Amino acid sequence: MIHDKQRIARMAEELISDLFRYDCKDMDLRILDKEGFYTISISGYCKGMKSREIERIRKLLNQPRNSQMEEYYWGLSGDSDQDTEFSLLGIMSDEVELNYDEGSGTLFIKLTRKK
Amino acid sequence: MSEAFSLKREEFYPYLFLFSFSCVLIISGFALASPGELREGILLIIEDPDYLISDYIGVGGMGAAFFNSGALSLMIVILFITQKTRITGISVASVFTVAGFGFLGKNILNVWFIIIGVYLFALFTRESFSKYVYVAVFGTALSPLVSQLMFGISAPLLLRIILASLTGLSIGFILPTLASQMLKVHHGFNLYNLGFVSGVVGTLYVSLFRSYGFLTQSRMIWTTGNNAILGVFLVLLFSMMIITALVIGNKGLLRSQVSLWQYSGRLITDFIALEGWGPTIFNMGIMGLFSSFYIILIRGDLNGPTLAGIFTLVGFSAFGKHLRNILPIFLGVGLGALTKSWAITDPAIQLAALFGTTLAPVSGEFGWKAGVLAGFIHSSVVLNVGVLHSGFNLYNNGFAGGIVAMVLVPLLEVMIRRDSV
Repeated sequence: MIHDKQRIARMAEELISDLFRYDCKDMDLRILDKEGFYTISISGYCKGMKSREIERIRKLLNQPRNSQMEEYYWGLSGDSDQDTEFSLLGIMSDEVELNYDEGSGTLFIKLTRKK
Repeated sequence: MSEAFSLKREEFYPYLFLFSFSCVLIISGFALASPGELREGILLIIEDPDYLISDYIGVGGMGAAFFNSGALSLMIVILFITQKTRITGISVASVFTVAGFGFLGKNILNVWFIIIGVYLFALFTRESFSKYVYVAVFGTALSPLVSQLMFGISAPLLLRIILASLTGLSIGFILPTLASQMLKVHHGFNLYNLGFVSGVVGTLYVSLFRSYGFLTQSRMIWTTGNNAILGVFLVLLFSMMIITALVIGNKGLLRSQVSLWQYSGRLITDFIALEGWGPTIFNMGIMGLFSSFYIILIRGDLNGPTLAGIFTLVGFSAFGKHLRNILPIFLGVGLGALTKSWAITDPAIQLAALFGTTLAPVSGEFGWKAGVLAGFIHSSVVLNVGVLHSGFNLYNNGFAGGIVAMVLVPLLEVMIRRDSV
């Protein structure tokens, strides 16, 4: 795939920007390059996120991988200064994991992307 | 969420929707002209230079224009099936856009050179062509350049065919690389991204051709007097969409509509994925009725070019546009007509209002005042950029919209969202 690594970098950048947007602090980002797939995980201290915000993110992320849309729009990833681009991350990922612990305020997102 | 496709029940109905839309256009073509008139009209359309503004209703007659539009959109639907495309908002937008421009510059011959050019790029990069199918479909914005070289210049036939083919193929070959990269320029606030890309590429090609004495006269084929028949057709078509939406998604349709209005519309906002088919088709029907009545109420002209504008607007109502984010753009263009040196019924301004909604995400993200400003500026810019590509980029408003967004969005970010990331 053309620009494969660049796309992973953009997805990571997108995650960081999106969490900043939700006023998250103390973020940890981890990228794994495994046989056949990548994972990009981010966790952050995002105190006070409302359940409807979590549901909105889940809704935007939970879109099927769509390589046709990805090929046209991946250039937008990492460009989020206003609206969230979770939709784009959704169509660029094969699996999505999202957890939010209300007590500790920890948001965890893990994206798995097949090569 | 892994990627899988088969024409199962869940894919069958979306395809049926697009297939039915194409068939309605084809049947209308047969209803409006005899087979002989259709044949003659289609030949006239194919041999026309096609650059802006070439109303196919004026070139080949209403029946032939409808047939061309329907046949072209049907070809794209079949292309999607062969490429195992899962129908999403952008697929609907692309079929409606092609159907619209089947009345204004795209025909069953001239689109294929660019599509094959994209296919050659896929071969070159050893990627699947299906990945580039949207670039291929939207990239046909520059198809008139193929027609002009093949039928509009005085040279031996073989030379014209070679020149037209090489031009179309090379355009298709370079578009996939540029399509994604140029999104950064307007930050996804210009929905007709390929319009912007095609504007830049078209400017490059036309500049080269001009250096060799290739000059074109400006043209304006703009039919009038068909508001009644086309108005009835559009009202019936969009009412059918609303009825379809009521049948398939009657539960909470209005609530979904309000929910849909909360999206800014910035790329990518796929209403089908986010809200489902019922609310999306309902939105498309509403937007179709709104834009048709807009043209009728301002005493504009329903014809090939405005049908292109209406169908494109309706298509993108599955992918970012809704009443809340397009109204400020219409207002901005209207305000421009009040204060500037043209009237709201001038052909280019009718089109600027319809196609100017490419900037709908600006009002969706920054508020209605920003949308009005975007529409106001857009109506001036669009009148001045066509000369760069001599009208060969059919998505001239997408080109202008890209320039407006490129300048306006960074300024709005600083002025309105100073505390952003």
